This record gives sequence, structure tokens and C-alpha cells, in this order.
Amino acid sequence: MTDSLLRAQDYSEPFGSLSLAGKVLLVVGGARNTGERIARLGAARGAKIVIGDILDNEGEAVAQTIRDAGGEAYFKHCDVKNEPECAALVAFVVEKFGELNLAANNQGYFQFLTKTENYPSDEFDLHMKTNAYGTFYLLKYETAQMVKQGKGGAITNTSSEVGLLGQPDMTGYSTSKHAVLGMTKTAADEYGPQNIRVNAICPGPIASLKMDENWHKMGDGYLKAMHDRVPLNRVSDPIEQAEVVLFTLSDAASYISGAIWATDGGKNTAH
Amino acid sequence: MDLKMAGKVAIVTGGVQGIGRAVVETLLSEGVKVVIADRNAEKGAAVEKEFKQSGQQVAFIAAEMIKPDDIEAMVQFAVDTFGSLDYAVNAAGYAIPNMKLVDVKYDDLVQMVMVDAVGVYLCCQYEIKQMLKQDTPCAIVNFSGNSGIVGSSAGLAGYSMSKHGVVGLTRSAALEYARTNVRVNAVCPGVTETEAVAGTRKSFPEIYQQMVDRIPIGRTGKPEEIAKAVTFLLSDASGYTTGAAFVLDGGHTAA
Repeated sequence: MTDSLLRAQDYSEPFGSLSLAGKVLLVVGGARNTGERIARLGAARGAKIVIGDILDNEGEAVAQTIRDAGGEAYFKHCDVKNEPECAALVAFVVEKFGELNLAANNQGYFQFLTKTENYPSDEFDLHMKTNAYGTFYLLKYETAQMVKQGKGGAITNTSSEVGLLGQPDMTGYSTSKHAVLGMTKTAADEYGPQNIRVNAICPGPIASLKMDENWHKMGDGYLKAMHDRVPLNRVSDPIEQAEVVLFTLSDAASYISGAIWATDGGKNTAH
Repeated sequence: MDLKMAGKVAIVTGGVQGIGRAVVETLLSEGVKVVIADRNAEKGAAVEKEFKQSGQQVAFIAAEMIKPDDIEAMVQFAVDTFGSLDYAVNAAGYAIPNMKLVDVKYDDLVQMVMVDAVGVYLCCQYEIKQMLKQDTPCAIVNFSGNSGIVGSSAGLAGYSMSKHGVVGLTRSAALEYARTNVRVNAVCPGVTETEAVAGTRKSFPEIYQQMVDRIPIGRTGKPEEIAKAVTFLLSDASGYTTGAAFVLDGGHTAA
């Protein structure tokens, strides 16, 4: 048994036509987990990166790692619950790199709480603000910038397996992630004529440092319970989510818009 | 795309023309050895020759995707020729366009359902049987269509029925084999610029334009765009994706 669920990843490979060379990529929630993988793999494929997150130290460290590897990256503090900060984030991207071509709106807030009758309304608000309103604010300023540039673009939002199905004790999360799919489809329809593609992924359980911590604290029973929920019988590595996000943002996906990619190990196909 | 697929072996059904052929080309560019299977033996031989002349590792076998014996032989042919079967793309399809439900003849309906739904089932059956003998990661992509997600108003009820069926088959097969080495996904292309669609553009320019006007991106898809998504789904880069039906239609069904 290894002591982490996270894989080592080689960030130095060439990527052929998945290449993002010369593109400017905004990764929101890019300070850790899937967002960090999107930023680093995106940089390895040639993109210039701006990371937006509330985690200043971790976000700056990811940007530094990318710069140390020879890439271009900046970090900018952004609390997506606050519309002016989302506007400022997009403005920051343009100030640094002159344009915005690609965006991964990957920030998220998540809590297992309680059934609807007792679900705290302030928690519902917090999920909606971070996951639904935050994605809306980002989409609003990203699409405005891309329309202004007049050369298309691509945006991939992170929804969830719980954006497709309900799950007990997380109505705030489920509702907010369903909302992400609505705005994804709407924006795809609205901005197709400008060749701005908008898609979403719906991840199942993803390995994280938090999951490692729970595993070490609660033992293998915890891990088995996590795995048993998924037809593929394992949680995903965050790099597996990042691969799909970067594929949908690349020119290889030039006809893919309004699509919902269930990256959930088969979970939403079962009942 | 450098998806680390070099040396793997794939079958592409319906691979002599249209999207199937684009899938063959994309897989070859990734270094995959490809068995092209198609009912059209004459065209298949010509396509095989053409690829071989440019030094590509391809082999053609004539097969009708409604005949179990043909499909079994196709899988065996891949193993005999290239040593294994790692990927399968079940792209063979058949449609009778612009025929209202009440006018469709029984034999035509049966033919369509056989090729578009039952044939895909049979292909999965023999392909998975072989893949389970191997212990390497294997993947299948079935061709549904965006009419496998929504209904079709263009007189394609039988086609839509079959393509919805492919989605159900894909999800169930994915679940049944999720804890093995085999992943199964589907793609749902919208209107793609194949020879058949080019024919519509020429013969019925108004119908073609109406169709394009309904697509948010404002154009039809290119076969190579569909092929790249198929190739990505086969690769280990999408290793956590199984049972998914992936819409590739320029936003058409999102609206």
C-alpha cells in the first residue's frame, strides 16, 4: 500500500495537437487539487496561466512552480462570491497577457451536512454563491472579454456527478452544481456564433490531500466505502479530471460545445 | 495528440468512409495499428491499399455488422494480424432519411435497427469477450448520435430509436464490465460534413441551411473533429470515463 492516493505526474511531455501553445488560460480554483493539475498540465502544453483562488500562498506557489519550469504564470486573489473580484480577475488576465483565450472555472465549495428539513440556509447560500453565482460571474466577464476580442475561445466549467443526480445531505451542493449545467448550456447556445465553446465536466469522487487524511484517520473502511460507490471501483486521480478539461479547451475539441462530460467512473449511469 | 497509444490495436467498423475513415486516420497518426471492417469489400480493399502505400499498419476485413459469424471473424482477424485487441470503435451505421414513421417499410426498419443497434450490441459482445482475455486497459467507443439524446423531427424515428438504444447499451455494458479492464463510452455527433451530408447540401441547399442555422456554432462538424474526441475517449487520458454519452454537435442539443 502506498501512502497517498495521488499519482506522480510528468509535466514535461510534448502534447501534439492538444497543445495550448500561445493561449492564455485562466484557472479559477487553481491553487490545489484538480485546479492545480489543470494549471500545471496546461502550462506544460504551452499555455500562459493565470491562477485565481482565495488561497494566496498555495496559489502563488503553483504559479512559482510553473515559472521555475520555464512557463509563464501569475496568481491573483479572487473570491468568486464577489462579482467585482471576478471582473478584476479577468481584467488582470488581460493586463498581464493582453487577452483571454481559455478558462477553467473549477472553484468549488462542498460540505456533507444534513437533510433538507434541517439544512442550514446560510450553508445553502454559501454553496450557491461559490458554485453557482461564482461560475455565473466568471462566465459573464470571460464571455464579455472573448466577445470583445472577436477570435473565439473556450470555457469549461466544473459541475459534479451531483449536478446530474441528487444525493442526500448535500442539497446546497447538488442544487448549485445543477445550476452550473444550466448556465453552461445557455452560454454554449448564446456564444456559438462567436465560436466561444462552453462545456462542463461532472467529476465523481476525486483523490485529494483531504481524502488521504480521512483515509489515514479512518482506515481502509473509509476508502472501501468511497470505492464501492463507483462502478470503476476507485476514486479518480485529479489529473484524470484535468486531462478532460484540457482536452475540451484544446483545438482538438473544436466542435464540442454545450456538452456535459460525466467523468465519474460510470456513477451516473447506474441506479 | 500524443495520447501514448502507439503499438495498440484497434478495430474500426464502418471505417472506409465518412467519420469512420477519419477515426482510422486519427488512430494511425497516434501510432495505433488499425483493422478496418466494412461491408463494402471493394472500397475496403482500395482504402487498405492506399494506407499501406503510405507505410501505415492497417488491415481490411469485409464484415457485415449484423452477422455474428462475420463479427467473430473480424475480432479474430485483429488478434491474428496484430496480436491483440485494445480498442474498438463501432461506427458502422445506416439511415433512411426523411421518411415519415407511417411510410417506413418493415424490411427497411428492421435493417436500420439491425445495423444501428443490434449490430453494435453484437460487436460489443465479441470485442469484450476478447478484451477480457487480456489484462491491459481496453476501451470501446460506440456511435450513437445527437438523435440518440433527443428526438428527430426529420423523419428519422427508427434511427433515433436505434441511437437511443446505443446509449442504453453503452451505459449497461460499461456498468457490467466497470470492474474489469474494459471501458465503454458513446459519442453523439451532430450533423457532420461527410459525403452523405455534402450530398444534402448540394441537392437540398435550403434544408441544409435550415439545419446549419439551428447549430449554435453555425456550421456542421468535421469528421476529424469527431475522430479526435473518439481517440481521446479510447486513450488512458480518459481512464475515469465510462458509461458516458458524449455530445459532439456544436451545441445543437444544449439549446
